[in-house]
Amino acid sequence: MTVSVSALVLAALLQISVPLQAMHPVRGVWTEVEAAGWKGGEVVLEGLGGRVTAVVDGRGVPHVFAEDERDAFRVLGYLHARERLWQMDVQRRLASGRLSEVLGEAAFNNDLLMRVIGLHRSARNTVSWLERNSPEVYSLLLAYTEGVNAAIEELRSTGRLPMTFKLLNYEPEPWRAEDSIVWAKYMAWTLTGFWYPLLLTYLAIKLGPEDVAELYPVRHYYSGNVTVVPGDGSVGGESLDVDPELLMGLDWHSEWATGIDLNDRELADRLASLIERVAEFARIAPSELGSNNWVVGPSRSATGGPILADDPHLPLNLPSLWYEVHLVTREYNVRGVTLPGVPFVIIGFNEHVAWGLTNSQIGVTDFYLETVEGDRYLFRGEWRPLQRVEEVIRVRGQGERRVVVNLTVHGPLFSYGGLHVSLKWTGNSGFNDDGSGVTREAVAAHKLMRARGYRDLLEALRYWDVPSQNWAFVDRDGNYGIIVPGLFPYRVVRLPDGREVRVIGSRSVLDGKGDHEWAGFVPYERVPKTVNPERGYAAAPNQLTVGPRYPYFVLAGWYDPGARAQRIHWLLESKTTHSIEDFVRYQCDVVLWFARAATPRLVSSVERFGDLDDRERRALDELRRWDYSMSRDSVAPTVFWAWFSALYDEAFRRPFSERGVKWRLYPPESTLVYLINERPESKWFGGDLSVAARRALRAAVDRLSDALGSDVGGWKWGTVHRLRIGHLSSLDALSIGPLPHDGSSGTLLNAGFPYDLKALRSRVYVTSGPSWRMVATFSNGRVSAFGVYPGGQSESPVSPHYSDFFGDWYGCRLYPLELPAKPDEVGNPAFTLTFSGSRA
Amino acid sequence: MRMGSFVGPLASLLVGYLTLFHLDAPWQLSALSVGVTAGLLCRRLAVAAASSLLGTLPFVTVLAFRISDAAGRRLLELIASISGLPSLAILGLLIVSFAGISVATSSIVGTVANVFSSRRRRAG
Repeated sequence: MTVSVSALVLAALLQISVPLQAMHPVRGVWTEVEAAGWKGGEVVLEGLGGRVTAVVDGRGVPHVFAEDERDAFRVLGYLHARERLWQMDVQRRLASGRLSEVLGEAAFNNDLLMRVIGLHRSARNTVSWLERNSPEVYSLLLAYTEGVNAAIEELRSTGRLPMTFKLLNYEPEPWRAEDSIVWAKYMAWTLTGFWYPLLLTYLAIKLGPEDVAELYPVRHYYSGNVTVVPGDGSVGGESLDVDPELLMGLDWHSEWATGIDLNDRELADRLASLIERVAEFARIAPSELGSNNWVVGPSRSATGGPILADDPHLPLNLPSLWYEVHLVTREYNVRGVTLPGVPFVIIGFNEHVAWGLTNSQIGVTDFYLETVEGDRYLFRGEWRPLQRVEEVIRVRGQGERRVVVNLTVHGPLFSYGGLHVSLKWTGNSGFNDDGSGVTREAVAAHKLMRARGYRDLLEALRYWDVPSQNWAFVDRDGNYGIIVPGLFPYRVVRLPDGREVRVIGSRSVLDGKGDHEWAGFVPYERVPKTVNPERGYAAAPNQLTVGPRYPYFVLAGWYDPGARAQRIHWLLESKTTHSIEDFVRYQCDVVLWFARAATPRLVSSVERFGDLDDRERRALDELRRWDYSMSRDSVAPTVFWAWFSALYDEAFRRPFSERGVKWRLYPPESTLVYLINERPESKWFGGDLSVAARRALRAAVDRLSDALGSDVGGWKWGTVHRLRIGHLSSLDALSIGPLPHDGSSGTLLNAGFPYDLKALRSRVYVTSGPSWRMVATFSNGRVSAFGVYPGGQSESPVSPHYSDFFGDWYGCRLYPLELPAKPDEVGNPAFTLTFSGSRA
Repeated sequence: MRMGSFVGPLASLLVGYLTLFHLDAPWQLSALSVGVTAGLLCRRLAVAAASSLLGTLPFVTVLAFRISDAAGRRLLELIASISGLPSLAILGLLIVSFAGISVATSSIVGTVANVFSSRRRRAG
């Protein structure tokens, strides 16, 4: 071989082998096997005050026994990082706009959005506030952080960093306390960063306020009878002193309400263009997220004590959003799920009280049209300088990019075409509404873990700022209920008749010059709550919170359309008492209330047509025999879904497109069901539901035939409605599915899926749903609880605990969650880790 | 046999082991080191190539150990499905790359070393 040939061979081999860089047989991805084969032993954790024992059970759940709470948090940090380090790193990068440092250009747009929104700025301020005002919680955060960093150092020094670091060829930076807070902020943002005021402004410009009022009413149709808090909404004798019907009938897009004249077409068109731009930039899409919880009191419980069920519907990923843990210290014995990166049990129970959350959906974002001139803006009659924050985004392989974020008193600015809209969100305004973004959920979560009954729980939640949640609880004394803590900003709005009313949220962009400002937050004593309600139960699957007489008019309630609420109320009313098994069955119930409410009318509306073909007649037969269960082995759900989707298109595609609406911003299902049943002569149906439904049926059947063949018997719901639990990297090899799946967006077994026939020919999967199911009861003063999430405790794909819970989650089986007080009481122990502060 | 016939192969084996286990660097650098060692210590190119292959042994042995259990094979399958190649192709590519890099390097280094030493001899 000559030198030149050898050199060519060498160059080629070096190049070919670059992608195999991570396959170093000693330090490469193979160490994943050693790391996943964790078998216990002694761990030295600098800073520990005493010995800590962690018994890891057969499901990979650690039971941590520590005298001192700080020691428990330090060990929790270590455990989180040992099992979920890459997930934690990706999450903090996602939330703080630093993904493109490791993923390159593809992540730049997300980073830019996050830098504009500025969760990292709020997180930094929150940590500083905790250091000054809550040293105990701050010290716990620090202990947790040091535990995480001990694990990072151990994994790095032994060459055992998770394989995803090696595949992406980077190493994690040390953990900081603000990394924990920024992830909590991100969760809060995804749950309450509602863009609806912008979207409704856009629709009001394109369709006109009357159509918006009909299609997107202030309260969803059919929602009034199933509020979270029973009754008319009065609180402590105080109630709204203006007729709520009058308020709901007002045009909230008018200049009197917003300070902006949308009849000024030039302004309106520019504003619509800006909104289109922002929507594209922020990738605003209708949310399929939601959650269920409900409680029954002792009088309606087969266990003799109150029972709670909770299942938050969130994006389903591998590794899972949640990490199960059991912590025993001098102060408490608590068990439940934590968010890797955040050192608190978010949903769980201790010996005294159990709790579970759903999103309250009450609007806590407002958008302001700012008057900007150069580098200043007009507020309350004076020109103020824009606050300019320079953000440096490092893009892998491409160096640094510097962007300037402009902020007004309301928040970050989105500018386009000479218009400027700012975003004001409680998570960034902070509990003092000073723009610092300081919020106190960490204080609340810490107090919650120590709660010794529902009164302590209520006291702890005084500090729960964002995201506002429907907090269901049961305690050992038989109390049960739901409270809705959070920062609810209200404005004092002068109505056209001169009266003033306190209003929560907005349905339109507001003028930013100072006349539409937040006047305060609803006092904690006035937030919605129901404790031991007379009817014996309460439920909060994201529906309307309070009755119409609530002293603060909730203008921006971005509630679920209510099918799950209707169904759970029906189930809870259907029996006198309910058992744990009933509750698990209800969590996996797949009856779709919308289908029950709409199908008979739809079927009867097309029966008179004599030109139905065989497929259509068979499809209608399936619907006539149907029990409205969205079961994966049934044909009727497919027919209903396709027909309902086609009817959406039939009713709205042309008018929306003719009026320049760029996206498929169709109204909620409750509106379509209302139009079907109450307004069959509606203009949206061309004046005749029968004709529209007939056309939609033909379209649905044709599309189903194209996608699934003309044999109606083969149109099983599971062939269309498939679940995919994707790895955070999106790699198929590390993901679960696609698998046939029960349910739909509107069933208690939530399985988010759009009403869009395009799903038949593109790879659209169910990617969100019950991220954690828990049922808990107190019987004879003792807690019994059960839970499961779709994944496993470890992020390592070669670990036996990578996805070992999935099968039981898919089959709707829950694991018993015991609460042992001592290490030797842990059931099914796999191995024990002993933590000490220094080597013996 | 001369002493040099043992030194080259043994040194390559040792360098292969040491760089793989004790050098925090890409495995390609280990292969290059094996090739350089073999090229410098073995006068005949064929012996240098054989020494390089011997220096590949630690790499191949550790790989074999890695896939000897089920978790290791599962990992290999995962990497294979991520890359879109069969597992055996991944393994083959790894081994051929290591061996190829070390043999090619030994050839280049050996040829250059021979040129220098013959010039020195001529000059002497």
